[in-house]
Order: sequence, then structure tokens, then C-alpha cells
Amino acid sequence: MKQLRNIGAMALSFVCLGSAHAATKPEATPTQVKLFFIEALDPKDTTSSQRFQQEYELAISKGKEFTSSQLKNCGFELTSTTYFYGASDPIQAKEQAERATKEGAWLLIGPRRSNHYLILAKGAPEIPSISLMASSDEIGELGNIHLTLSPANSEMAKAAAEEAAGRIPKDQSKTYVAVVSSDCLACKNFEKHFDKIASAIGLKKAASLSVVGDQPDVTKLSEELKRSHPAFILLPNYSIVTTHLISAIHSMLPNAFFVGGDGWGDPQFGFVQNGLEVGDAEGFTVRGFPPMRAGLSTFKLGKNLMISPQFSNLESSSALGILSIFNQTAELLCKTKPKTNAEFVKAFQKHGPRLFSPPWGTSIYNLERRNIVFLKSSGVGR
Amino acid sequence: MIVFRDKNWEIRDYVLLSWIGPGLLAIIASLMVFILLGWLDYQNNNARIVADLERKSQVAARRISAEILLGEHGSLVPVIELLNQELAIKNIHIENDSSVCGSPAPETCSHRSGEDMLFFRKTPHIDTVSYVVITHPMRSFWSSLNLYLLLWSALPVFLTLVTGLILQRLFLRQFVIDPINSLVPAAERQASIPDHWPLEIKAIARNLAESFEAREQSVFAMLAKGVVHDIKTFLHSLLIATELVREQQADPEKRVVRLESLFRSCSMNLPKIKRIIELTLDGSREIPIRAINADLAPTICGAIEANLDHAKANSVKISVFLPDGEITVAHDPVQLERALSNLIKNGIEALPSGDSSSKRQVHISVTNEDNGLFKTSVEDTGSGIDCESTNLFKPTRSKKAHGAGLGLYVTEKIVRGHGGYIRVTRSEDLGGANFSFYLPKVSPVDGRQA
Repeated sequence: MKQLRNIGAMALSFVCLGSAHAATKPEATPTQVKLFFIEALDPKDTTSSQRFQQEYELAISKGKEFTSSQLKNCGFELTSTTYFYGASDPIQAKEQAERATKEGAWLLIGPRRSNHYLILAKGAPEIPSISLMASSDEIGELGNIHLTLSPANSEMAKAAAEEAAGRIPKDQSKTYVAVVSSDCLACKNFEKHFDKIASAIGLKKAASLSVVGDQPDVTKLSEELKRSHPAFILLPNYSIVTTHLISAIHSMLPNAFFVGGDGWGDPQFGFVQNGLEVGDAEGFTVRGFPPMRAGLSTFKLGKNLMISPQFSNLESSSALGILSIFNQTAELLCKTKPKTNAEFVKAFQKHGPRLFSPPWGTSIYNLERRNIVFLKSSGVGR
Repeated sequence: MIVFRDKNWEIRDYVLLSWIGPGLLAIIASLMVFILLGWLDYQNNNARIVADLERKSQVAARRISAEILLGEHGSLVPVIELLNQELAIKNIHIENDSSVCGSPAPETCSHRSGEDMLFFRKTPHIDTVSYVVITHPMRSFWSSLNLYLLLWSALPVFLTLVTGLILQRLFLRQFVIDPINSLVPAAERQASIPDHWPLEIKAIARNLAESFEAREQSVFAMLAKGVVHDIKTFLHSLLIATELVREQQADPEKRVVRLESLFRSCSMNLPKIKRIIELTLDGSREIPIRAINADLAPTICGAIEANLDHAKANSVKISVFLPDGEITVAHDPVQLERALSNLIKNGIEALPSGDSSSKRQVHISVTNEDNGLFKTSVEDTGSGIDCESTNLFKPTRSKKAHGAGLGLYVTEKIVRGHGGYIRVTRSEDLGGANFSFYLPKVSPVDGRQA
């Protein structure tokens, strides 16, 4: 009887095991998570060129590829849709966001420029979104549902001001002049923060000059610059404008030193680096992104990618940001397992600010012999 | 046109005059085309400006809307400045009055304000109705009327006028003025009437020719009257002389003397009268040609025999050269002998009296030409003749002291009546004149009358 009971217990356990095995065997249909990438392109600007677009799309492809098995195990599958639009027509950011909302977007990866990203947020106020590089203060005012991978301008301006102050020789006056694109929201915002911190650490602003357009007329600036004789010139503008300004000012003031905001582009994409026009001008800029390898080594997907043969194709900071977003999104999904868009919104509001906070702090890059060369990471930020 | 009749103008002047009317019309037409093209250009340009404004206003409205959406963070003023630069338009501003385009507010509208066009476009994605207004100067109608357009308008008309005038003058010269200049020779049958002459001038030439012939007939009629008068005078003298002879019955010796004198006078004057009558009659009427296919040699010999006494009297040697075989020509032996006899007689009489007998020669020859003609030449050793003269074969144009001027006229008429023609050159062998007439070897029509 005891034997029978044992056999019966064994049979029961086999049945239980068998039924347990049978319960895990049929795979559930993964939940489709729709990501929409919306980015501005400008054929005139190498930071938004066709080469940039190709790398952007390759990063999306790699992000999906390297997170697919992890997400599959969690019951998710990422789909992506990419909308590119002309950088001179920022209202499209809103229109594309509205379109993505209608198509059931879970997460929007928005434009790099702050003003474009702010407009996008107006088109999809209820959909979680992340900008790759928007750094203006206004981003922080949008709430937990709209985030950016870039450190805030206040942080980058602080790093820039401190670095600039440290480089001024002791026998030189600690004055500077800012030349800022008046149509650039992030640029003006950076200048505001820089001025605040600079004032606190003893730097004196001699003048603030406004320019407009990609190729502003600098003849009006020359007198002011020569008269001020600043220790450095703050150029917190985008790459194409900065190159034009450095080229023009350097020809007038060969010893001028330039300090940039988060807009000069990265070592592979932009006009400042490798721009013949800038000659032997010197300066430095701050960015929210470290060099590619350093950035990838900070997260799991990045480490896996670095050992894959296709890694060398990716070089831009945008690609690094996209891969980081894929890594963190996969982590968010697997952790919170939202079944619906609404559940994802709640999960994003709760965990997003931590998962998608600027991951790499502020890095400083030197302008040396027409190249933007990584110098150090300031350690400010996360 | 009457006012121009007194002018001493050439035909080309009148032609130029005739182009004044078309020229004025062409200038007016050119001006009308010029104004029309200017108007089309004006419309086209302004339509293009409006289309351009539509496109630019869309760009501007979208860009400005983006800045409005950014609220206080936007950069409206520099963006408008930037758009002014990028779009190259006179002015951009924002109009918050929603009623400027009427109600309900349309997407776009436009107003003219002086020379400017104000184009309104509603700002997209903005809750409150506002318009982005872009201003651009419109092109005026007068600025469309430029020199370039004027040249293009006038050039085709100008080229047509000039080409027409040049061609007309060329055609006028070739087909009117030159034929008119050649009308008299053609009418006198010294030159043929070219086929390319206009029908009207050909008809005039033919009418003139008939008129000239009629006048010649008329002249001969008058001449004949004169001859008759002379004959009557001669006969009257003869009658008086005869009466005188009859009155001399008393003195037989005187009577004989008078009779002999009368006989000599008659003997001398009758042949002259006979010849004058014949020539006059031949000149004043058509000469009947009764052609037969016959050897030309007897006709030539007859003509020579008729002049032998005359040649002897003038110590002139007559020589003749005939080709081997029979010279068969369709001809009227009587008339052609007369024609040839005239030429021989003229040759004899053309020799100066002072020359030695060895140099006084008339040579007749017949040659068989390759062109289907027999050429009969009468050459002399005289001083020659003006070959360029067109009056040789005219009646009453004799160079001789007692000639009637009808011999060559009648000769040419007889030859022409045979379907041939006559030419005058200088004799290469004898140095004097060479009258040659050409007759076809086979006459086209037997019995043809000149």
C-alpha cells in the first residue's frame, strides 16, 4: 500500500509536472510597444544630414535587435516608426506628434533641438517622450512625462564657466563677450545660466551680441569685439552658426578663445570640427555626451554592441542616445510589464525620470587644430 | 495721290511711297503688340508674385506659429527678421484682427495697398485667429513696357517690311523695269520677247510690234502716193515732150533730136521707176513666199547674173563658193533671188570708187551649218558697216546717195518669210561687210508667206 501510495504520489507529481510544462509551452502574443522617432533634418547642416539620418536609422535597428530577446522574454515586442521633417519648419514636430498619437504611440523619441521638442510636447501632451539632446530649462517644466537625455543647460553652463575661468591666465582680464543666435531657445537659455554662474565666480560679461540666421553678418560685431578685448567669446550656438562666427571672428582677432554650449556637434558630425574655415582657432565646448565607447560602456546593450562586428558604423551622440533609450525602455517594460498604453504612461511617470535621466554628465571637448577632441568628463550630472 | 503726280520721280520712288501706308499700319500694329505683350507680362509677373507669396506665406505662417506655440520662450522678433531675410520679402507682421479677411475667416486673402500686395495667411495650430501678413511690391504695368519688349514687338514687323520692300524692288527691276526698257527693241523684233516677262508686258510688246508694223505700212502707203505723184509728173513731162515733138513736124531734124532725147530719158527713167514701184509695193504689203524644195545654187546664180552688168560697170569681181552636192532648201526661188540680188547689189555699190580693181570684190558663199541651217554669205571688200546699228533693216535708212532705203528692209522681210534670219558682221577674209542669212534645210511649212 505504501508502495502504491508512493507510485500514486509519483504519478501525481508527473501529472503536475506535465501540466506545468504544458502551461508554459504555448507562447503568448507579445504586447506591441510602438515607438515613434521624430527628428528634424536640414540638408545644409552636417549634424542633420543624410549621413546622420542613415546612422540614426541604423541605431534604431540595432536598438531593436539587441533588445528583442530580452523583451520577448518579458512579453513585449518593439515596433518603430520614424518621421523626419525639415528643420526650418518646426511646427511639423507638433503635427508629427499628433499623427503618432493617432497611430497609438507608446513612446516618442523627440527632436534634439529644444524648441522643436517643446513644440512636439504640445502635439502629444499625454504621450511619454524623450529628447536626445534638448537642454533648455523649459524641458524640466514639462513634467515627468517629457524627459531629455541631455543635462540641463544650467549644469552644462556651470561646467563651461568653471572650465573657462580656470583657463584664463592670471594676468588677463576676466571678461567675456557672448554672441548668441537670437532665434535659438537653448542658446539663449545657456547664455542666461552661464552669465549667472560666471558672475558668481568672478567673470565679467563685457557685451552680449545677438545674431540671426545661419550666416549672420559679423561686421556689426567686430567693433564691439575689438573694443572689449575679451578673454574668451561665448558661442553657445549650433554648429553651422558657430563655424561661421569662429571663422569670421578668428580672422579679425586671431588670439580669440572660444567657449561653446551644447551645440557645436560631436567629433564626427558638425561644422566646427574639420571645418577648414576655423583655421587654428582654439576653444572648448561642453556636451552632455561622452565619446561613443565611453558612453556605450555604461549600459548593457552598449556593452553587447561593442563586441558585435557592426559597432564601428555608429559614431554620433544621437546614436548613443537612441541605444541608451532602447536599453532603458526594455528595462522599464520588463520591470513594470504594462499591458496597455495607459499602464505604460503610469510606469513612465513613475520610473522614467530615474531611468532616462541624463546618464553621462557633462563632458568637455577641446577645439584643437580643426578637431573637437574629448578632454574630460566634468562629473557634473549623474 | 494726285499731289504726287507732278513729281519727277522714278518707279522705285513711287514704290517707296506705296509702302508708307503699310509702314504706318505696321508701326501701329507693333505698338499694339507691344502693349499687349506688356500687359501679358504684367499679368504673368503679378500672378507669379502672388503664387510666390502664397508659398512664402505658408512658410512664414508655419514658422511663426511654432514661435507662438513656444509662448514666452519663443523668439518671434528674430524669427520674423530671419524670415524677412530668407524669403526676401518686404515686410512680415502679425495681424490679430480676425476680421481683416472677412467673416468667417478664410485661410488666406490678399489686398492691394498702393503698389504693394498684402497677403494674409491664418496661423496654423493657433487657437485664436490671427494672420501672418507678408507684403511685397507688385510690378507696375508701365515697368513691363521696357525696351527689350519693344524690340521683340517691332522686330518681326520691321523685318517683314524691309524684306518685302527689298524683294519688291528686286522683282520690280527684273520683271517690270527691265522689260519696259527692252520693250522697244522687242516690239521692233530686234529681240525676242522673253518668257519670264509678265503677261501684261508681253501683250504690250505684241501690241507695240503690231502698231509699229501698221505705222510702217502707213509710211509705205504715203511713199507710194509720192511715187505715183512722181510717175504722174514724169508722164506729164513725157506728154509735153511728145506734144513738142508733134509740133516739130516742120523741122524733121529737130524732131529726130527731140525723139532721141525723149527715148533716152525714157530708157533711163523707166527701170528706175519700175524698181521704185516694186520696192515700194513690197515694203507696203506682205510678200508672198511660195516655197518649194529646190537646189539653192540656181537661185544664187540667177542673183549673180542679174548683177553681172552692174559689176562690170563698176569693175567689181564677183566670186562664189558652193559646197559639194545639192543645197536643198525650201524656198521661193524668185523672192530669194531678189533678196540675194539686193545684197550683191549693195555689196557692189558699197565699194569705194577709188580702189583698184584687184581689191574690188564681192564673194558669195554657202556653208552647211551643224544646227540644221544653210548659211548664205555675201561679203565685200568695202569699208564695212556698223554691225551694232539696229536700223540697218529699217525702211528709208539707206546710206547711199540715191538709195530708197528699202533694199535691206525687203531682203530681211523675204528671209524672215522663209523662216530664217539675217545677221551682219565684219568680213574676216575681205575686211568689208558680211551679210549672212540662215535658212532651214527643210522648211517647216511649204508655201509659207512672210
